[in-house]
Amino acid sequence: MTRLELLLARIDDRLLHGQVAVGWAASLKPSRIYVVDDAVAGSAWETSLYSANPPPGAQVEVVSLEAFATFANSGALDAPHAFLLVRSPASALRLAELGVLPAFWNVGGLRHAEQAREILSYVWVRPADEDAFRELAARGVRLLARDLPMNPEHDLAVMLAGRR
Amino acid sequence: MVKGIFLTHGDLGRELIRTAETIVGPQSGYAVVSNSGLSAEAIRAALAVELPAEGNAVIFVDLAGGSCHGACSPEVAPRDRIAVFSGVNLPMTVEFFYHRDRVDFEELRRRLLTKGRAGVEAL
Repeated sequence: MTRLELLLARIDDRLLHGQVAVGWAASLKPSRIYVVDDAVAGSAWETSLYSANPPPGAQVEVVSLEAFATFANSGALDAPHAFLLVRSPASALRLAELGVLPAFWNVGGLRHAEQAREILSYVWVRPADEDAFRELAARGVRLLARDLPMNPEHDLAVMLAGRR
Repeated sequence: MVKGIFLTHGDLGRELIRTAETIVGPQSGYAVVSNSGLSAEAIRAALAVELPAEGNAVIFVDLAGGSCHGACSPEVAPRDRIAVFSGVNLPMTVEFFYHRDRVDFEELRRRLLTKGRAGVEAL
């Protein structure tokens, strides 16, 4: 089990987009940004989309969940200078099962989907998402919702528990 | 008529068209897709619904590398018949509406890129 002190571990269904590449990267200045997603890693076009426009000073790596877990568990990851981006609570849970656990997950964007209920304007959860969050919280991971660094942070575990 | 799809953050696309219409007159044969509140999957679906199954179209995106660009995969928008541009601005939009029925598709592609870029100068 690797408890990672990452610069940012973020769940965002748009992965590396403006808010992250500009908003968060300008504030925290990562040297590496890991876009961790099986579908993206399996698509040459999508991989190059995310790698082609890195924020200044950062290098973007697109990897599958398993490949990232292997890398992180090997000790080669420079966590304090890295961003970890995944698309969903399911991905975050899968990483936990592979032994990768950040101290906290920044929940930055889960947009409206069918069967999803609104927790915050930028956090909509389906039943499967709630289950995954609950499991992550049970493993001691904090779930903190915040879309942009200058905006307020919300404890998602508390919000989810409160609305059951 | 070559269809134009304006795929942007917020209401940028809608406002670009509205403004272009004050210059070139009322238009048809276009679609506006905003990414507001939509997941990556939902944006892709919203775009796919607007694209003609065959023939030419042009997709105008605001920001390269973002979720709007991400919706335009080669499977959804094959580049041999569908042109995709980022950085859509008013000169590019006006050029599109004015020339899409006047020149062939390859010429249109060239003009859109040239006019869009030429629109950026230090004044």
